[in-house]
Amino acid sequence: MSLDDRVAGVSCREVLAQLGDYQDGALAADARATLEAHVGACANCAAFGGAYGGLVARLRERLAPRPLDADRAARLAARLAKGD
Amino acid sequence: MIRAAAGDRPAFAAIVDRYGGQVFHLARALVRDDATAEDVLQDTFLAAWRTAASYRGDGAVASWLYAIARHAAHRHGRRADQISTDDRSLEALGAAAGWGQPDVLAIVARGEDRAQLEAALATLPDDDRLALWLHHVLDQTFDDTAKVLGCSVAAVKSRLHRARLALAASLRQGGDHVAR
Repeated sequence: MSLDDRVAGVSCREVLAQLGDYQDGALAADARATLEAHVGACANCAAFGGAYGGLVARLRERLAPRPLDADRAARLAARLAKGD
Repeated sequence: MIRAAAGDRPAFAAIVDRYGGQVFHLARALVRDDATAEDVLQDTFLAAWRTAASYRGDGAVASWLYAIARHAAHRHGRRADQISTDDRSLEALGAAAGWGQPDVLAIVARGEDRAQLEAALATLPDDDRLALWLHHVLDQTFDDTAKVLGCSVAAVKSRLHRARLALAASLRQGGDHVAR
């Protein structure tokens, strides 16, 4: 097991480098297809890609901002009214 | 925003109401204690009110506020012990994040817990943490994230990839990784 292993014509090292663009939907169609062929046949990259994508989803789900609580909003309003 | 820029206080209050929570939580992610984050929150909106007249309307209000918040957070202190993830190879970051290891999926399980996720984020350099927050939590586009960070879109994409790997590594290793 090495990042230099080649599956479906591309190395795990190249997949690792392109994983961000893949996640962001920024890969060209042919590069995307190549990466997906690799991941479909490489257990290490499949597991890692799943964890990577899952982590991004957790960021959105778990850290969603909440509105200011009433006390904090009141202090902010008072500071803005005071203006200093 | 146009009315707020003209000095309309109720219009500005509506902006505070709409974006206050986002600015506070972004500040909290940057300075990591509630009292300082509240100072950043107040400084941000005070600066926004004072400079609203110069807002040119050529960008999103949110990213304008986040850029002000970023500067305010810097004024309130920045850790000196940060090591940029730019200094590490993708291979090293990938290995630390668990590529090829049987425990790699534990990252996602640990990320389910907000406290663990915040603790892992806290180990990242400021700009890595900021990029993740802006793009993934506050839904800022690559363009707007680049404006807040003061860099190119390509640099944002690269930073996000490295920051995600570093975050995964930190989660995998219990929040004691990468920036220390």
